[in-house]
Amino acid sequence: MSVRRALPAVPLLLLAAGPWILPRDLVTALLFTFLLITLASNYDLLGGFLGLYNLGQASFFGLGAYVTFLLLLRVPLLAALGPAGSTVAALAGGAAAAISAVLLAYPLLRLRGAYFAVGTFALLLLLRLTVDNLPQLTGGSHGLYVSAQHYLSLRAAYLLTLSLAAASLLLNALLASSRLGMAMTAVRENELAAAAAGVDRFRVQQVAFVLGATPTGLAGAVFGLHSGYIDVSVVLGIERSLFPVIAAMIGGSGLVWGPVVGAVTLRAIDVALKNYMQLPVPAPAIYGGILVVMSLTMPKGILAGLTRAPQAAARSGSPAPPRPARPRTR
Amino acid sequence: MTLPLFLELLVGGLVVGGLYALMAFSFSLILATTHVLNVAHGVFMVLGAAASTLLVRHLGLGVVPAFGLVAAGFLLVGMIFEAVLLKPMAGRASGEVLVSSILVTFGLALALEAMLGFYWARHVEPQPIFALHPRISSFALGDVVVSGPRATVLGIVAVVVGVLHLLLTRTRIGKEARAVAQNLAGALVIGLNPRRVSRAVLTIGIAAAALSGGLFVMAIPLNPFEGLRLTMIAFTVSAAGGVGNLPGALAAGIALGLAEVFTGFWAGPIWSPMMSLLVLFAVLLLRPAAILTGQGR
Amino acid sequence: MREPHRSEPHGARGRAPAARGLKIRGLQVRYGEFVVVQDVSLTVAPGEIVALLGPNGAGKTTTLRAVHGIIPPVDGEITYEGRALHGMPTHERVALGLGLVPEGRELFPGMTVEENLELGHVPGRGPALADSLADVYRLFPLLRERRRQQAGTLSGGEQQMLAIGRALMAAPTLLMLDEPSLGLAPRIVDLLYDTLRLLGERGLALLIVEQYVHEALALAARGYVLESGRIVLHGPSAQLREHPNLQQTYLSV
Repeated sequence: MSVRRALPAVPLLLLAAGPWILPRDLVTALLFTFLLITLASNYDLLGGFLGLYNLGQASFFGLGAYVTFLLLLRVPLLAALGPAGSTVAALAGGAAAAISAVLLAYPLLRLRGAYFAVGTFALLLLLRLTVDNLPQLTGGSHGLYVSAQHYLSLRAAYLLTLSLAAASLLLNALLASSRLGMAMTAVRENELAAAAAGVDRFRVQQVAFVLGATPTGLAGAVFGLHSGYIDVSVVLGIERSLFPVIAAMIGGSGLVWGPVVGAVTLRAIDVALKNYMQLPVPAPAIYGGILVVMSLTMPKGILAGLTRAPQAAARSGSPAPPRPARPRTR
Repeated sequence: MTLPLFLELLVGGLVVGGLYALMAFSFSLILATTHVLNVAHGVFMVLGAAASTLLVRHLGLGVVPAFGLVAAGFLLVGMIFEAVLLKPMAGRASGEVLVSSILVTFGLALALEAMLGFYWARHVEPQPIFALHPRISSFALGDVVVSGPRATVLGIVAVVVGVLHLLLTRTRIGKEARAVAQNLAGALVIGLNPRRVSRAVLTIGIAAAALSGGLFVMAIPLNPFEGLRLTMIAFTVSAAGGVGNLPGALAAGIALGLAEVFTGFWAGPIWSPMMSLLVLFAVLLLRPAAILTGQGR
Repeated sequence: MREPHRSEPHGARGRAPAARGLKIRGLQVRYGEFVVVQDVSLTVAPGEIVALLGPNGAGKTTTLRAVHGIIPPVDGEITYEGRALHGMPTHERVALGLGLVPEGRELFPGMTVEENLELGHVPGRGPALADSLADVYRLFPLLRERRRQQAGTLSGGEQQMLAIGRALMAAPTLLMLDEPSLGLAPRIVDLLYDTLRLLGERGLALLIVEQYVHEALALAARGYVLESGRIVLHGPSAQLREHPNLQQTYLSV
């Protein structure tokens, strides 16, 4: 590995030392930023590289969290194992997200463009309703608690979310340069041509769907175990699904570092809104507004706007500048 | 199940279904003519419901004048909506409009929803519920008692659907809208101005959404955060009925309304919202061609 | 015979020739990287009938689309009646007198014949709606019979008539037709060309794109031959008919 390619490892190591050197508030803020980076880059795996906008990314987050909690609450053996039980349950939560992605790919990937977005969002609503309507199993609106022995410490949660974020970014970076990544770009740019070149559209998209669901599911498990409590509005919230989309858009969709820039920006705005500013409007209104303004004025994001790198335009899944309708023939 | 009970559920389903059809039709007309998938459609409904509630409950207006005011006010809102949010997208390829319109209107939906809930809870009532209870006496049809407000809703829905039908089939702009929906390339070639059409459709469509929201809360109360669910229903019904197709939306809306009411009766009311989402999936999976091309006539 | 070869445009006598009619100079159009029209220059005088010929993919359709404002050219200049058309949306070009009967007809299949025609009418331009309708029905009596029928249920020939009728409703002064005879039976093609001749005699300028050149050259005063996005031949129809290259390449088809 060249020196240049190894460079990101240096800040990564510095960040890993965070819990021992930074103030507690900042560690918590970074933890939430890592969560958002994970979800945003997982979202962008499809949104940026394949042009498939998953508005239901939180489905996998909630699934990971709920499966983890249910296993710990319903399987006495896991509960008795303590931290080891938590680990197994969290891994099972990630696996549940992965397996459901494998299966959901069959119906959802039949949908294109806007219809994929609608379908994935409907899936999130369906999950929310299911959890709400089965209170005996899921606690309904009261949510679920696990006992204190399963709690993840701040340090552990920090390191785990940092790893998930780094792994998600690495995944996107590898994909951007790999054969699968090229196949994905080919599928996005021109499905027919890609098919003619022997690329199996469905397989490519399914693999991406699963790769984008698994870290998100694990992130849900880690988040749940760190807070010790989950409910629909926390792990299956509309905002939980929307934030990754906004983060990817703000940063620059289709760029490996885009979600990082976007997530940091968005978390900074969030912290500022909640702690330092008394605004006359509720926070979701601000995020909604950001999404409106960004998609109207800067559909390619901050990073693309700053670098103006040619590949930024080529890789971005965002709408191109105005151009006339494609001819129907010749 | 007794016959009167069945008939009562049937009327309930018809009312809900008629409302679904109305909101879905304005949604699908916008989708078919402008390729804008208006995620904020249900939120405009909720806003219409809130405005009607405000006018009737707090300003003491009659239901009908309140609806008139709401419809007129939202014509203006629709015009602004078109100018600010959609004008920048004019000239983009239809696929791009579809995708960017989702993001834009999704953001708008969340912003509007949050502001509505926030301010209503602060200034009007702490637990916002939008509902109208006009004093319209119920009447009996044989063994079945039909609630007055519900019958009124059904009547107004029928009138509004009729007016929309006439607008589309008898006026120049209505015919232009149908032409754009059926064949955009053909509409452009003969010199129709797509901006003129999209302005008209969005203005009327948003007003119709707000009006259907006002009508909705005469039958079923709403809270500020149900807009996105209503959008999903509008999408489901228009996809099932064929995008841009009024009779199709009517049939699909009523079918869904009936399905929900009977699901609610047999499985419990908490399951009826689920019904519409399950139907949505079924429609998405079984009729992708009808949705994608709008050839569901 | 690459030099412009002026023929006497009928119906334009005594008018200032420079500003009138359609003028295209140095037109270039691309779809993405792909250059479809390289360099096309042509003119159609008021009332003149001109044929635009050439093999499949030569750029004929694209040229018409560029004139009508459906695709923006990369380079070149298009003027109609002295007005530069650059950047002008299609509906303004229609209001200026340009009409296009597109490839594939592009009708509104779910609407009736009469509704299709009504939509072609531009309020405030040309005769009133009822008069324009009556005129189109006089030209195509069959359309009157079928006026309550959905356009999608018409036969190919009837659809072509409807497409032409719909374009005439806007009272154009130059009508561009993209392969009007495509897919039609020979008998119907003859009928169609009779109507086009009648329109020409009324003073309507026509720019006809055809792959089958016999009828087009019999009707047109002049013709241009397009190949790989360039004009390779042009001149009076009689001369083109005799031209050995054209004979070889197309007339044998």
